[in-house]
Amino acid sequence: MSATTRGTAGGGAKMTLLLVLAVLGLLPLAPATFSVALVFLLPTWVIALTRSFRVPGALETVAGLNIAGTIPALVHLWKGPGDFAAALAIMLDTEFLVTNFAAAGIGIMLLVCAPYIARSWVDIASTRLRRRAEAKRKRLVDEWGEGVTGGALKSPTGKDRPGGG
Amino acid sequence: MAGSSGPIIDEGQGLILAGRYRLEPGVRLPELSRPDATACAVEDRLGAADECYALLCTPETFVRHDVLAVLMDKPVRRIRCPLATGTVRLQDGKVVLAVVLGNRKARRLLAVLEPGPVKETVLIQQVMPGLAAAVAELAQRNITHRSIRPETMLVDDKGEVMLDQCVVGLPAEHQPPAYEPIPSQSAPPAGRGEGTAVDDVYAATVATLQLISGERPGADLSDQELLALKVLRGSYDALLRRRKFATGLQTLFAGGLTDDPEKRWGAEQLTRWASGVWDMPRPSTGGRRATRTFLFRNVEYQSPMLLAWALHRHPDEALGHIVTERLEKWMRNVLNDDQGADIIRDGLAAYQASRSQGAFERAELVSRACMALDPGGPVRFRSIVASASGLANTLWRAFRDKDRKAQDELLELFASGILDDWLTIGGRFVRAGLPATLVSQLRWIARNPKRRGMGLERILYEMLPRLHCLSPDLVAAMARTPGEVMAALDARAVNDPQGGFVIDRHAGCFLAAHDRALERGLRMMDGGAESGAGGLVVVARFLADLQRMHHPWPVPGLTRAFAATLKPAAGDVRSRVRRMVIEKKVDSLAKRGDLVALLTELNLDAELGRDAQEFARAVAEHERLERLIAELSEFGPRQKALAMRRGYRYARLFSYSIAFLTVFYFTMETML
Repeated sequence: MSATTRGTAGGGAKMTLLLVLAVLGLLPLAPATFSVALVFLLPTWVIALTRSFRVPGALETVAGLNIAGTIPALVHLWKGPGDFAAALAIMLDTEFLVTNFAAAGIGIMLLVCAPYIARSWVDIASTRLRRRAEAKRKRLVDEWGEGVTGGALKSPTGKDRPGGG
Repeated sequence: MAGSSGPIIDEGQGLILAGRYRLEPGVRLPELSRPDATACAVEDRLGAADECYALLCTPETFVRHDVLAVLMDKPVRRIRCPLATGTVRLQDGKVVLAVVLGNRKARRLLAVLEPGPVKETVLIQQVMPGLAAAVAELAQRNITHRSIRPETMLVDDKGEVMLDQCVVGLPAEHQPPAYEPIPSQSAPPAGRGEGTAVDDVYAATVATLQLISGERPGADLSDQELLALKVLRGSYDALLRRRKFATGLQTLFAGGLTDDPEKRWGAEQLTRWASGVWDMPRPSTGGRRATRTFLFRNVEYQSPMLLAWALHRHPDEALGHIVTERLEKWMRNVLNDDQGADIIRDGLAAYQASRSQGAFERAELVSRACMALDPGGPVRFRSIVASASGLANTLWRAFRDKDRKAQDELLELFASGILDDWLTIGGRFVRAGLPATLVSQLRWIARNPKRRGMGLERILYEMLPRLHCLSPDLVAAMARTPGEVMAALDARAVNDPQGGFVIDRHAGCFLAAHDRALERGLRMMDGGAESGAGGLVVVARFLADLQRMHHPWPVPGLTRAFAATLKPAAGDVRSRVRRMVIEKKVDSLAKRGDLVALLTELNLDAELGRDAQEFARAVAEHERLERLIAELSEFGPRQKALAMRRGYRYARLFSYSIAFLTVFYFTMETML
């Protein structure tokens, strides 16, 4: 578990670094876009910097949906004049804000609900696996008798012969 | 001429031996029968009628197979000689050894002669030439008759004197004490042994004395009295009682009744005497005597021979005289017998060094003392009394009579060093009856009685290699070769499939004695599993070797018994499927009667090995499944971790997918 956590933390750090560099790269090239990305990707920055949800892939999950929520705003900016006024208007646009933060919220909700949803799937898979193992165990007992369950290995007497024999 | 080890002939097929002698078991001949063997008529298809008869020997009858083989190979004209022999199965199912003998019409000499003393001329001219020739012919073949007495002397249809058969019955079994030389006189009938040619000359001389005197020599004396008289005065004086006969006869008595076997007349001197050429021997005067007597139980003994018998009869008192070294000093100082004294001294040292000083050690010490006093006499150990060549017959008698006490004592005797000492001081007649190499082999066998193929039964078959197997289950079959034992085992298995797949001690010892290669198989039985399929395979492999080497015919009884025994023992085979396959295979292979093929095709050893390996793997797999099922049966930490891991992975994938689709959507929108 600790290895998984370490691996996830390492992956999260790389991811954070990548995102920061990408956003910082925008600063000299497209300052308006940088401003929108900086604001709209706020949930991602928070999770990356505060290390909330210490679960594997928390940053990737929130970041993915947060980016998906930011892209309409960025496209709208790029289709317009693309200056700071347009960027400010977008940042103040309720529709874009709701869309963006709702997407990030869905990401956070996924982090909370995913284990419970997956548990159902694991339950189904476990049941199927258990039935298969039980069938195999029955075949073993049919073939080798009760002795195969242990004990008779040390004292072969023949009393543990299966009924079929 | 038919061999003596041929296959069993069934009466239903016509009991014809050597291709010409047809047995008629229904026609009994009481006048020729013996207490231990019934006589029946024989039709000689190539010879004259009423010339032959057969003695039907049951498994309890002693047959001198060595003598039989010699006489079959080189017949002797002057005795009732065996013409053919074979094992036959009668209509009642009993198996007997049939010995066809000639001269059926020969009459008893005593029936031909007039009652009372025989005239000297008749004796010398008619009786003695035939008797001397018979003894000489036997001596030439290096065999003995051991039953020469007037009752066994016959007259054939040509009027010539001859001897009765000597192959059926223990040697010297029915000889009166007077007819036996001093060493074997007091031994029980089974212990008298084969003896040597000079013993036949002794008996022939006593028979001559009986015929000329008209009375049995020494008939008025008990066995002990006669022995004492012979020892103290010599056989010549003890039997003749100062009677005088013609010079020729006196010479014969002096030569033939010499007590020292080295100096006694042999067959050659007897033949020369019969032809009128002889040197007058000096009559012997009994055994050695001491100048000063030895007081034992208030009796003064001058003769060490008689003292040896007294010690044997009273071992507890004897022990006191030995332990106080009185006997040793008497031997050394009075008898000047340092060799005998040394044996007593060494025996005493071994006795005192032994921890237990129990009954066996005491008996061994007394036996050594008896031997030292009378080295030429029989071995005396507890109740066992036997000459060197009579030990084998004593052993046979102990087994035939199921005498456990005698068997135990014989085992102790063979395991001790008494026989080695006897060979050292007993002289060449002892060594002739008991070869040194055989004694050392027998001692080794006797000291490992618990091992399969060893013990007293093995000693019996080593000493009497032509004897049939005395196994309680096989004795009725009279099997005398490993092949015949195999056939008998097969027949037994037919009657008892469940218990038929067992090799008892007798059968094992018999087979080991006849074939050293089989002995290795028996040793494997000792080392292997005693029961179950593993033990069964070892027995089956041994029997397969036996079949391959000695009985190349089908043994359906044994293979079926193997199948019957394997079914319960197949419990050792864990795999149900494998067990079913083995049982099916066994059922089909058992019908062929080929144990070798059955074992090869079944390859039970390898199957058992594979089965054990697979079973171990199955146990491990079962344990793994048990653990897995236990884990899967409840939502434990592992499931929780799994669910979380998968949940987060799916969430991440979902997030990536949405991001990708959004980018894709807007890219397409911009481009289009």
